[in-house]
Amino acid sequence: MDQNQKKWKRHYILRTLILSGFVLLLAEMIFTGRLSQYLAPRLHMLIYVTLGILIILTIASIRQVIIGQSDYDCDCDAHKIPRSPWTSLIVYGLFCLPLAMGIFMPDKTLGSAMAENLGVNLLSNDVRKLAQVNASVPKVESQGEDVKQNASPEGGEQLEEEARKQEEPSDTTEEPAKSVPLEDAQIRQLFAESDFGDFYTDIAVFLYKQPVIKLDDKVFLDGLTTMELYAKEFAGKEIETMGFVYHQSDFSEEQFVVARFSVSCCTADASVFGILVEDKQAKNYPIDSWVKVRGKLELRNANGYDMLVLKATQVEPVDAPKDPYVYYSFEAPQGSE
Amino acid sequence: MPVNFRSLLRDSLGAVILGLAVVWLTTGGTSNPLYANLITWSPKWLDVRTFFLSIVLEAIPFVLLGVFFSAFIQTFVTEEQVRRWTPKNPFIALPFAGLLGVLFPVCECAIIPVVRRLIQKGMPLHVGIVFLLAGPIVNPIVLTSTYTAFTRQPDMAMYRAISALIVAFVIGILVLVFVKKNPLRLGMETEIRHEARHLEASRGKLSATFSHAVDEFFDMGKFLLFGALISALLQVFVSRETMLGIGQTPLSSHLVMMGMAYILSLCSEADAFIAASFANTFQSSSLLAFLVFGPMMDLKTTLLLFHSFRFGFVVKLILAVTITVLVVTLWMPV
Repeated sequence: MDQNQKKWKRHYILRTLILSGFVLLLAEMIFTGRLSQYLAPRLHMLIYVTLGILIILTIASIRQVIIGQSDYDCDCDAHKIPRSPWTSLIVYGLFCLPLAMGIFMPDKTLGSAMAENLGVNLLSNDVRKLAQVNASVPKVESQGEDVKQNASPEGGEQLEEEARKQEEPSDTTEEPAKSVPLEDAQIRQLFAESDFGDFYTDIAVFLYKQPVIKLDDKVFLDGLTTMELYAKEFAGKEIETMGFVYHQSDFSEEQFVVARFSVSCCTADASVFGILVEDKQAKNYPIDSWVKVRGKLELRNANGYDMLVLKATQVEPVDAPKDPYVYYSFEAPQGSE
Repeated sequence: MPVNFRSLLRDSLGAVILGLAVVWLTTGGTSNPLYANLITWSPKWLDVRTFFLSIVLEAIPFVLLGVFFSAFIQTFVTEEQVRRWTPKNPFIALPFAGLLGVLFPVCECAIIPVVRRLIQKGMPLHVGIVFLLAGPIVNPIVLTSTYTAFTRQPDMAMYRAISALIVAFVIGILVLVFVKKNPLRLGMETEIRHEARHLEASRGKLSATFSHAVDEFFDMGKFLLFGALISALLQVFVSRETMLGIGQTPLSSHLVMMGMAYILSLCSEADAFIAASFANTFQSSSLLAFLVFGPMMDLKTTLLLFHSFRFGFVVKLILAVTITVLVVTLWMPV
């Protein structure tokens, strides 16, 4: 009996240590904000609750150590503690693993290596089919647009001109509010026909109204999906976006992808979304470095699919954002009304 | 009370050494693991870490939820009530179990301890199994996320729910006809009854419930951690290209997507987004197979099942579910 008591006590002490380890790890992640490297913001609340529960469990476990088994007062074998030292080694080692990893290994944002593993989703297409895109690209490059600092003057549709007119007054995001309501209705008409639901029509109108479409973190995913749905309508529009540089061996020297990881629940369900960019300097931007790209969308036909490619006019290196991932927002962007 | 420090030391040292050994191996054994930021870690291992921690962090809340929900059933729901609520006629009982899934938004990590407890409380096995299989799919949260992920095919959510119910009913009927003896694991029954005795003795004592929760956390946690580790390793070291390269005929693409769903062990709330990212590569019916099979069977839930049910029963269940999902999704007009 005495021997048994001691065995129990050992297990309880070990469990208490592991539980408090988890509490510390979670608390540290919450306070330093590292949590967003692992979970989407909408799940953070769950982790706060979990931290509370784990603290209670730790206290319960400490209580078990102090009071011992007398609480239940039975000597049955039912409660599942590992029997042999080897089993306990494996079981508790398994619990120590996340703790050890959390403490001893540095955080790392997912990058190009993982992106290549997962496969990158491009606008209306797949990175795997790029070979065909290359083949179908006509020799437009010979036009010789000057790289960098040179807002492209080419492509004189009225939309373009209108875009540049409106561009002058500082930042563009606040701009749509000024648009004439009538025009809104017209744009809506343009998108409503295809009938992908109100949500995407809203976003399409919201984006289309902007002279230079800003694909920021909030609208990145929904924006890309929208442009994919309405590829024809968005061809010729100017956009500005940010992401990390992704290269692949079958890219031409003037291609790279500006990509983001999207996370819906946890990082393990990450997938990669990006836009294929064409730029003379493409090979000069190091893999995984962050860039801000501005340019014009062009419609290409690859393998029977319509695909939008971004002809860059301006590419500038920027710092990686604090939260590197993008999320589905499940709601229409503000200001679309 | 004196503690045997030597054996305590041996146990905890063992655990620490195992943890350190893994860290040591991953660094190529070059330097002191304590100086985390001075070492250049192989990026692949850092990715494994990211995946592993994120799966664990995501799943722990739901496992705890399941643990407490099952403790709640244990304390407040009597066997009498479970018997009275469950319809006697199998043809009413099966849809009833499906409805249960719609009402209780439980995901696949949480549902196993709950079902185990309900079966123990006298719920007929076939009803419990239908709830176990359909529950993580037909609930509103999962269907909403499916609808969001498949904007281009709004029907996908509907097909997913229908296929899941069909598969669950088929398996439920098979269980009703073929399984006669109790498949709960040997000893599990006495174990649960024993726990019940404890609770009986200390009913109203919150502390006893929490002590049990600690036991259960370590009990379920080890399977979860193991599953998460394997899944993280496979995700980093085996590229999706390789998995996709295996099959392009309808049958093989279904099998590949189901195998992938099994290995990835995603939460049923999130898996639709992954499936949608394959939309260009695979036909929609194999995506449907992915969406239906994943929440019913995956690496981490298999381990949890083995813990609760007899070995033979789990193996047969997995086989039956695999074949049924395959047939149903091949036949569905997606």
